[in-house]
Amino acid sequence: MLIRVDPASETPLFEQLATSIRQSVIDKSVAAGERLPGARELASSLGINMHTVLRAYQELRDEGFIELRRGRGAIVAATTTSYDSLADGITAVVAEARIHNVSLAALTSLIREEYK
Amino acid sequence: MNLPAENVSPQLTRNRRLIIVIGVVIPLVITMGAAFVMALWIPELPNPVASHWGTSGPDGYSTVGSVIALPLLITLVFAAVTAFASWRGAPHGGMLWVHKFLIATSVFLAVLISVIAAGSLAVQRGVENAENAPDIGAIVLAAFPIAIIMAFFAWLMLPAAERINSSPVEVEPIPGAVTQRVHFSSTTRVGAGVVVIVAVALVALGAALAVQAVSNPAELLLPAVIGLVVIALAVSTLSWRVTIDQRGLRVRSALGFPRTTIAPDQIDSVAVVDVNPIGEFGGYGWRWAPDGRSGIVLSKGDAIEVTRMNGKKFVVTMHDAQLGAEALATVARK
Repeated sequence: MLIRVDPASETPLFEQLATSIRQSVIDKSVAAGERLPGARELASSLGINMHTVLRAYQELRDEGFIELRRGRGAIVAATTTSYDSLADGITAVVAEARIHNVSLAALTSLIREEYK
Repeated sequence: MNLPAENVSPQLTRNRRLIIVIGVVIPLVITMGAAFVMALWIPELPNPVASHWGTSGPDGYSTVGSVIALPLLITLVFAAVTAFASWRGAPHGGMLWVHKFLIATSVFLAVLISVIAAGSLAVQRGVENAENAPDIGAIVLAAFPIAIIMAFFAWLMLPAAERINSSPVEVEPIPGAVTQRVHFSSTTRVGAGVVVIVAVALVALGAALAVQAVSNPAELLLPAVIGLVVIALAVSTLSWRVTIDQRGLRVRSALGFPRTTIAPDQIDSVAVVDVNPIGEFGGYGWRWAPDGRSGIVLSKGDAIEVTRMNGKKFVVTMHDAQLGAEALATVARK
């Protein structure tokens, strides 16, 4: 599983972290039941504060992506929701955008408009 | 060999002939020749004959038949394994280094055990009671160089080993700001087939230790310690945790030892490469290849290949090698 954060970005770090892990769950690069790195380990690995990691984990728990268990750390939840059709939809949208030479920036803003 | 119609290259046909002649026929002829000579000596030998020597003369005895049969049996089994393992050849119809090694070892083993068996009987000719059999230390010592020389000639008769051309594809860092930080973690482990083989070997080792514990408890300590270390290392190195972050590449086996780290400033380039564990590394685990690469080789397929500043290459096989390699390239860029 790959986690990316950019301390120079304007988006808060905990949000970047949550986004990165959420994406890994959705695109299945991390499987249900798999253990995420411990908060302390991940914090020192990324050179960020441990409370930032805990905040991201808590947010992901509230959204039902992970389970937090005392002593066992964070585990990817066995969600009943399948993101397969969402992932397929995204693949289709991107393929369509490529055909029509719609740039990534343009596609992103289209999605942003639709999402509002 | 009467195999169904198969599209076999002339090179592979030639190599298979070599496998059969050098890896099977010659070892069997050597052991059968030794068996024939030993059989001629039977009238002059004590019954039973000494078959095992301790520090103060013979301490194990058996029938002359088993001393004659055992080398034949061992050679037959090893030759069969050799032929079976090397029959398909290398991907391009040649012979792999590991195949050549097996064939030469087949000759080595046949010569070694034949010389020792025949030598141990030769010194007992005319001896009335096997308890008075002279020492065979010198014969055992002489058997090794003879066997090594024979194996060396066998090696010379084999074609040059086919190098599997590994074609690493260098990866680019993950696109994004130079200020971004990445954390990649993955678990890589051996496949079910390797687990079964390791389990069988470890059960055999455990059984051998149990037999030793019952039959000779006084000399149990050393074998038990060695056995337990082997079991712990084998189990530990079946599964590895791979972590990539700003501190570099870290690999850690299941029990925490062995482990190693490659810091970002030691990394020259990162690539993804297709690895053939048997063909390129001669097996599974923490391996060193004849071409100078080392690494954690647990499965056939994709691997991260790190080239260090000093030119040495380190390989880690894993299912998500592409993503891991990109993460490592991102880290190493700084």
